[in-house]
Amino acid sequence: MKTNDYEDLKYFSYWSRRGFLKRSGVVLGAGLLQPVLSLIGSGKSIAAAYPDEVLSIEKYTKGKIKPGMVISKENYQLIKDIAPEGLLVELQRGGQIRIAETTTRAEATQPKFWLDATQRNQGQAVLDQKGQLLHKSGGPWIGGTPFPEPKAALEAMWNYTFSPRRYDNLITASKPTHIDSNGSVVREDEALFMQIQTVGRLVVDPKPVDNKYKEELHRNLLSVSKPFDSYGLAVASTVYYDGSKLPDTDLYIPSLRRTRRVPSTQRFEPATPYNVAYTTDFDIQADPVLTWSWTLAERKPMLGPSPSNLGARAKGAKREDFVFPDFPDKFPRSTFELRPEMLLLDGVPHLPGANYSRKRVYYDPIYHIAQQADIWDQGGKLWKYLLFIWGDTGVSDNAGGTAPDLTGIIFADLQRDFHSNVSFYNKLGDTVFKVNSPDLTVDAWATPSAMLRRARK
Amino acid sequence: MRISKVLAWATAFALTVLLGGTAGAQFNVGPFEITGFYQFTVDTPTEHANPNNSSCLSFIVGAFQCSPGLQKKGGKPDLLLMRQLLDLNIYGKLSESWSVTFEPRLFFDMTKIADNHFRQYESLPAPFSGNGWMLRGGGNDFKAEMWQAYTDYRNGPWWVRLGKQQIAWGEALGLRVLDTVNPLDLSQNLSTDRIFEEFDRVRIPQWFARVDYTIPNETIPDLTAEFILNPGLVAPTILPPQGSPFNVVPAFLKVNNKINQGEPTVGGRITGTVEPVQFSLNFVTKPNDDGLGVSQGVNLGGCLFPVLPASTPCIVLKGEHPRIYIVGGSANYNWNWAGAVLRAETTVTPNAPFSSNTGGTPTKVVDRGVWKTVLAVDRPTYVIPGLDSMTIGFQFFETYTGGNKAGLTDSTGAKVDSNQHVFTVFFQQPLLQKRVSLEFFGLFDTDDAHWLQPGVHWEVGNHIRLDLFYNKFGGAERRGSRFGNNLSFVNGPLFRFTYGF
Repeated sequence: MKTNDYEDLKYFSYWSRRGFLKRSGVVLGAGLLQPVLSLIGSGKSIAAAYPDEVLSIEKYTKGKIKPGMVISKENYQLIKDIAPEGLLVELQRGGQIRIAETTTRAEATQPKFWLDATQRNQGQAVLDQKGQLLHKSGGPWIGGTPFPEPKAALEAMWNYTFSPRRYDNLITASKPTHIDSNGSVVREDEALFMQIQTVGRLVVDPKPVDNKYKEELHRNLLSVSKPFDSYGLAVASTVYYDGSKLPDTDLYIPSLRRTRRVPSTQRFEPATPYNVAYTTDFDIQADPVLTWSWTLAERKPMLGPSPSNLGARAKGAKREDFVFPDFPDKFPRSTFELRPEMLLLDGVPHLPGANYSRKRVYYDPIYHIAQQADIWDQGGKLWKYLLFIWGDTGVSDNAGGTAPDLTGIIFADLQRDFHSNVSFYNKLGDTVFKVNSPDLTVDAWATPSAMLRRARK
Repeated sequence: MRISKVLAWATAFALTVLLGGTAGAQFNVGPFEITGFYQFTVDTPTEHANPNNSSCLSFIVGAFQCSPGLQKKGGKPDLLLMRQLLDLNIYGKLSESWSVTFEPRLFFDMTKIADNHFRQYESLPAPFSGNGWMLRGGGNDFKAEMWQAYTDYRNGPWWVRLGKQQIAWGEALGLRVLDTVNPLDLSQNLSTDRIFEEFDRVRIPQWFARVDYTIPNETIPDLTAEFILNPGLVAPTILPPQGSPFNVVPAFLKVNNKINQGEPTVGGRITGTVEPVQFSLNFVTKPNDDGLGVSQGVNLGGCLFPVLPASTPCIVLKGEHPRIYIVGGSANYNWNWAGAVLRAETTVTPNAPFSSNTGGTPTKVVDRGVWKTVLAVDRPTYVIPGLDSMTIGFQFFETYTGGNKAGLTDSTGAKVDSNQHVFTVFFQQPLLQKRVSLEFFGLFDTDDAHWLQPGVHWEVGNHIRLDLFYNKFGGAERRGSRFGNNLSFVNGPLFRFTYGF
């Protein structure tokens, strides 16, 4: 009988011997073979920044894992040193992923105008004593990734959370599907989501700051169209620039026929019945940055989702295409790849009612986004796994390129074995995905009076 | 109870559910989204018969009971309500600027079919001149109505909504202080439905032009001016018909509502945000919703020898609806430190109408100043370890009536106090990932009246919602305008099955 022996797969020590760790500075970060940012800025692949061993999963694993290979409960141990703990649990329960070549273009998940701004504004971001992100002039950050070579966890978190979707504004349509431990769909929601950045604006006037809302970071709007008793419900969140201040929340409640301001403290409980996602989980980390404390635990190559996962936008995709296809599956099959470098950021919440003891965010310093997270409960037991997949939407970013954005999300409750999976669409009902659009303004969409006048019920 | 008929309707109900089950979710037809729900409600009394249906009057012995009175059979009925309701919401987005919304409703009231305590009465009546504008038709049991029908136009800072619509103002929940633009239809709902849904099902939509303009400025975000106009298509508060389970008008009394169509409702408000405060300043003038009784005479025969149902009641009142003026405002404060939102709302009605009584007979309508205030706080709180937070709300409501109150009665015929104080509390504890909610609403009047409504709301998947709750009115206070023992005849459990699509 064949037995697997994985003892020889000491990946970390293997590439450590090659001296890469020493060059990259491990925890200190920065200073790879070449600065990644300059490669991106000159339109080159980031491959020159990393040794070959971390750009090829086949080389990295000495041939044990190859592109095209499917990882499942049969062989999940092959990736146990390079996968989040939550992903390993998912695979043991029937999840399957396919391995692909490493993507070496930052544009795969980041819009070009954002990368240009990152290059242009490099070196102008500072953190004050509180850890608050500022422009060196003392004003709000002016756009692009503030710290393209993050040396600390807090810098990395600001890089991602300053503008999680990268656009001055965005409207997208999504279908969250909630699936129980038997794999049965127990509830389907449908919602429009909008994010309107009020500072760090790069494409749509006013730039870089909408002075009327200069105390804010962005406004989010969620407008629900399913199920029937949530039809017309709208939730507007005002996220403040001050990273220690909780957002404001205004609701339009159809049965009340008016808007209502509500406390924003219910961040660690389900957003809707059956939902695995808590408010704090949106965008991997939706709480203001400074309401958690962050440490950089480790920096190493790891698996991350491939931008080839187009989700529901991949028309006619089958399960065996591994692109997060539009099926109500508990674990939609998707494609992963070796990311040359991943920052493991450990966060501890300091908000009242927080029932997480720790969240580990897997931050990709090439994309400057976080696509995976593990979450532990107060007893230190692994509780949730979050997977946010980015890919090309094929839609114009209104800045000369196409708009990469989220194509799928998994919120997995590993203790109850429940899932909330989200698919995104370019058109759903009368909602059309678009970004950097002049008509998506705070006043037109994300104020109490705007919610009232757009009410569908 | 007429078992065979109940079974027949239960079969129809089951068929509806099954057909609905195959229909799946929300429909899309062209630019229209159609969503809605079917609901089956059973409300049963547990204490006693409605005394209003059998109260008679004698100038010799005073008030007494003439059972069965307006009921066919005396005693406590089996049902307060057994009803099927189909409520549709049809939303059509015609362009970025234009949309239309229609909300037709179909009712089938089975109460008097299933319970032979009752004579025939008109479910969902509209007993006033000009009721055609309610777009309601049907027979005594079945009614169809276009509950809401309006078009929206949005262009930059402008928003115009034209048509039959509800307009809700204010911060308070379940207490009408600023939320007084539309009257209420209480014919099948005497505050006994799920309190968390407030007045959505009973706030009578009226024909309004509602125009909002968001004023561009750098100082007050979302500063918006609103103007509302109903050109005079007046609807009053609609009370349950006499003889029906929820009747609140004593059987010896007849009230002829005098509705003057053509009297406009005009109002407006300014809303805005000055962080951390949201505010509104409001004004409205309209015919008073509730009829103020003025005696039109006494039928001595009907009083001395009461035979119910009376061909001529003992006392006939004319229900007058004088014009009132209401000014007020509201504000909320986001108290981040405490994780709470504080709310305040107030109105002054300088000419609130009352009936002036001479020798116990209402002879004319007079006005007095009335000041209403609500202070409220909402705070989610983790009460039970391991569970989601409990939504906790607390409201304090004061009504002050100025001037001389001697001989004054309100629209319910109740004596008027200078001050009325009411506290409300509500709790909502979600369980099982918010699929089940335990709810409790309590209203406490310091004059010893209370209304308690514990309940359970259960969300089953996408389509099914189950509600079971209990209404309990009590206390020594019996005046008609209070939530006290005068309403104890509706005490009992209420069950609702809802299938949505």
